[in-house]
Amino acid sequence: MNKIVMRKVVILLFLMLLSSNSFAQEKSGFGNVEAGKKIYTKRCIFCHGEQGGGDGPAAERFNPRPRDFTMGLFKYRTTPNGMIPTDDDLFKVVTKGLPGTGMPSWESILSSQERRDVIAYVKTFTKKFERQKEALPVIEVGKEIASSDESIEKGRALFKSLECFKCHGNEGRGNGPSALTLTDDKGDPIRPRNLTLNWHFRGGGEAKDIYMRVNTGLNGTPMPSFKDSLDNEKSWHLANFVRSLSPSSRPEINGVIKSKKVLGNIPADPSDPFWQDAGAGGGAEYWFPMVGQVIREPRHFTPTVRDIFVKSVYSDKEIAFLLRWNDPSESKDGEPLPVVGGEGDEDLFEGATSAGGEEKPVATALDDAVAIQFPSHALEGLRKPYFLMGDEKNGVNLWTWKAGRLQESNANGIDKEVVQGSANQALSGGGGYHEGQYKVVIKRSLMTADQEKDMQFEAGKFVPIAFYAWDGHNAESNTKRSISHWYFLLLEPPIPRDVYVKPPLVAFGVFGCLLLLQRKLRKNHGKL
Amino acid sequence: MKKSFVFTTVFLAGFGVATAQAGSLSGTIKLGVDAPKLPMVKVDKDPEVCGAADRPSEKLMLSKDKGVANAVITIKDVKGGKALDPSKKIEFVQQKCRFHPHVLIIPKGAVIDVVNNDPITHNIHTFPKENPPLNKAQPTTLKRITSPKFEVAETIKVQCDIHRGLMSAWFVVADSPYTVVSDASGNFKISDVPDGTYQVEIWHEALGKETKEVTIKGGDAKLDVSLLPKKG
Repeated sequence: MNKIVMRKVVILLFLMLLSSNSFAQEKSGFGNVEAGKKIYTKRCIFCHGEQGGGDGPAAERFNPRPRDFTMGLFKYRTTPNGMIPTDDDLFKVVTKGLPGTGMPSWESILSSQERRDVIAYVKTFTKKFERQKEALPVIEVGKEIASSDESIEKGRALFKSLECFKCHGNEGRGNGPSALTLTDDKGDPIRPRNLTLNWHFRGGGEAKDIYMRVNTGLNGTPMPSFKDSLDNEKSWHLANFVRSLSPSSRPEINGVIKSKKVLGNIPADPSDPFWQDAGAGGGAEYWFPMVGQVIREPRHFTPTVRDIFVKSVYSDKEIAFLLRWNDPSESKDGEPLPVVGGEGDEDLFEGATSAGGEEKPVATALDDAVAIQFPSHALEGLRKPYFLMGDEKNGVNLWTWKAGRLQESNANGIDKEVVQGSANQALSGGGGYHEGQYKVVIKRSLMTADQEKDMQFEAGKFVPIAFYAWDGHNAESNTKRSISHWYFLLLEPPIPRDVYVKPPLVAFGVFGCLLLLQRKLRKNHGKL
Repeated sequence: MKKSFVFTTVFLAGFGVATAQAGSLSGTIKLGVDAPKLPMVKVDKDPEVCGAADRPSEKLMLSKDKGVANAVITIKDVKGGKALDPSKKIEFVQQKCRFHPHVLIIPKGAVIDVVNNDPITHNIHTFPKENPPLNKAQPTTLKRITSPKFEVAETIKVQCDIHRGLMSAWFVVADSPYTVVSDASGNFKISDVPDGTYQVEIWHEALGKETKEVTIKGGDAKLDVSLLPKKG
């Protein structure tokens, strides 16, 4: 008996020794600091800085800014709130990159060993890794509860009771009442994620990724860990609900917007049932990515609007566009901005020490706006004006919606925009802001008198089309804007009425002939 | 704040080395210039819980005769004397979108209980340099969170991001048992101090740091300090 116990103990000890030994080897063998330093100096220093402070020369062009490694705060982890990440967590980020940020995937550039080496070096910028003696606890994604209406509803209830909406908004578009005052741990403004566009989630947009995020929180940001309030089931329900706010798959760019012919009037109100009716304006919606304008000064590296959704229909008389884009705040020119950080860090004694006691100007917002761009007139073949507001030779025609006002203009370059005379202003439309989203309809007659300045629309012809957006809350105006590429608009030729008459007639005729032929053949056969 | 100087103190006190003579230090912290017009904080979130009226900023709280509340007073490098007690239960309470107390002294090695008495979610978010950071959501169903141990002496900013601007506080992780906070009138008292001459450090979030020398020789020594605004 004793011998058996002894043997078991010995085997156990041996196994423990073996496993701890291999673990230690793995740890020390994870990466080489010296080799990593060389890679870091070549590849990472430009953004993350020589001392890892996230302050390289390119840092200010990024939103979010590059990670400051000296703080030892990492967002995308599998470890509990406040803890450093595992080597695997860091390896995943370096390998796959962080979508929607300046952090690229290094998978095809650095070998897996090189990635391990650079991680080993990055870990030397803070004492936190060195201090961590015990193995890090890891949050496991538990047994999956597949998404279902029931699970989503339970998740929706949790979203409400845990008050996720305070930052992320009632409909999840990152527009909650606390959204605009938030800063990260460095004091830089930070916005809650818009949960309806999951392709922008840095740590992955699938339910299992969301499960992890709500449990770990995002170190260095206002996103807390909800682990103490969630078990495996609740985590899945919440994750399934958040996942359900985005489309089932990432939209793809379709380069041609097909405008469908409809009968009768096109409503200017985007909430009109017309825009849901499959037989009218409820057809395909096209998605286009947008980026900051970084070609002309002043450039804009940190735009708010990254996606625009477009529908188009036309009637006998007019063409209409329904534009949909997300913006966490509705802003109009001159409105005071909420103080980022809430209370503000103004000097309490400013009045007492400075003789003048000048009043600080209150920071104000600018107008939110969107614009559609066409060439001023059709060009031969597939020629297009320069995509950014046209060029000297070929101008563009712009339809702008600015905080509710519509305006037609022309431009021959970004600094050469001329508003059309009031007699030429022919746009109409409507719509506005709701829960972190703008929905705006812009319409114009298909043809106008001024064929030089106004794009004319004819069925069956391809028309170049591009988009701009401005977030007035983000100090965007003029060149500081979101831009898109040129795409194409095609007014689908209506199905001519002949389609319903001629082919049946032809078919009927052919059938009749065949019948006659057959009879004749039979008759002839009988005769033979 | 310097670390580790109290190690010997704790060690000796732990072995019950009694001090021959002990006294106390008391006094008032006051503002040394005219009271500025203190900014009011607008309550723009959850008025039904946080209260609808604008509230005075907690950044600088003065009594009528310019006594400074929430100043931290520390007698430095005390040899012998009482031991640091990290075992005492410490509560940090969120009520009506306010942290209580505004400045919390935490003996090094202690944990704290974070309590949410409000019918809404708060998040307790700390900004330490050395201790592990904390950012946990505390919905109504989670009345109490126990923090990890605070192992390193430092001053830590605390805030609720959801109620940013309304809710901020400070944790002072102290490695000396001779660390106290001034009350609403700016008064403070530190007892059981062994006789000797000491450096006393006074810190306030808006007024910065000041150091004074005091000598304690039995009885109650007095230290009244006038703090001046930070320069620059």
